[in-house]
Amino acid sequence: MTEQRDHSSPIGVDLPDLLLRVDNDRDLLCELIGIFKEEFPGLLRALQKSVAREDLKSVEALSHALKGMLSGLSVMRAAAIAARLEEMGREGKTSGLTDALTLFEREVADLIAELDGYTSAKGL
Amino acid sequence: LREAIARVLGAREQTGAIPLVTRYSLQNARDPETILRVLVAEDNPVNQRLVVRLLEKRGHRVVVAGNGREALEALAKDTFDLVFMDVQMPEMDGIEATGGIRRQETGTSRHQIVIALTAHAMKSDRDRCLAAGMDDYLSKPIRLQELDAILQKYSCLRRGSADASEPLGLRQ
Repeated sequence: MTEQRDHSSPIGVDLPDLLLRVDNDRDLLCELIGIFKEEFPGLLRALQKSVAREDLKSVEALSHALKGMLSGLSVMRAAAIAARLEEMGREGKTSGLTDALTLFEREVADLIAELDGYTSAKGL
Repeated sequence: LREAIARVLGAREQTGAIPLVTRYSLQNARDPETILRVLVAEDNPVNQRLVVRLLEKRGHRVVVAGNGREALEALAKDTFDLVFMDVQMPEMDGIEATGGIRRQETGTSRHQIVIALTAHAMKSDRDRCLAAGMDDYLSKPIRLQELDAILQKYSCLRRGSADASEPLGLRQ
């Protein structure tokens, strides 16, 4: 019987997977986290506004951008919720949109702090 | 790694100052025939930086475009061995940009190699990329093994060419 190990952190970052994908280049990882920290808050705010306005085209585009960044950093649970939001935007579904956003907000609440931990020597 | 070890061991036989082996000196020492000129069309800044650095670390020369329109502009100014083309981009997506590339090639012997960067793992999405004229695809998030396999494949094509100084797209 094989044992499935979950390498993900409390916020769902699969660190071994992430390090593998950046070629074990910690400088590159820090750089990517830096870019993410600059881009993420603005994208999240824009998504919140788009959901409130039910601007589905914008929801689709912003969720796609967030999904790309999150999966690029192996934040897989949040990336999956962003993918769901993107799909809802594409399919024109307004029902459940606010709930999905709330779930996404909860999932990413501690994300920056955790990623910050990875950029310190202790974190890696 | 093998190359670095060989160079360090080789340095023992040298007299005088032993040259410092760094990733940059290794990169410069690469066989020029394996160095590809690559255009990366990707709007997402995290993924853009990741792909660029992974390609640069492998010794390739990289130019970045933020959407399909910028990619077409870059291709009008310069020649590339490979284009990594994100499918979903603002202003002009990868499908439309590839269509533009193929239209420009009509009646010529040119064929620009275009590799789709797609977040969609579904076969239908891949078929859509190939139907749009893309030559290959790489799933996102990018796996190093898959990236290296694609680079190996097209580096081999370059090595097999009569004139390695000429980009792949001009050799048909």
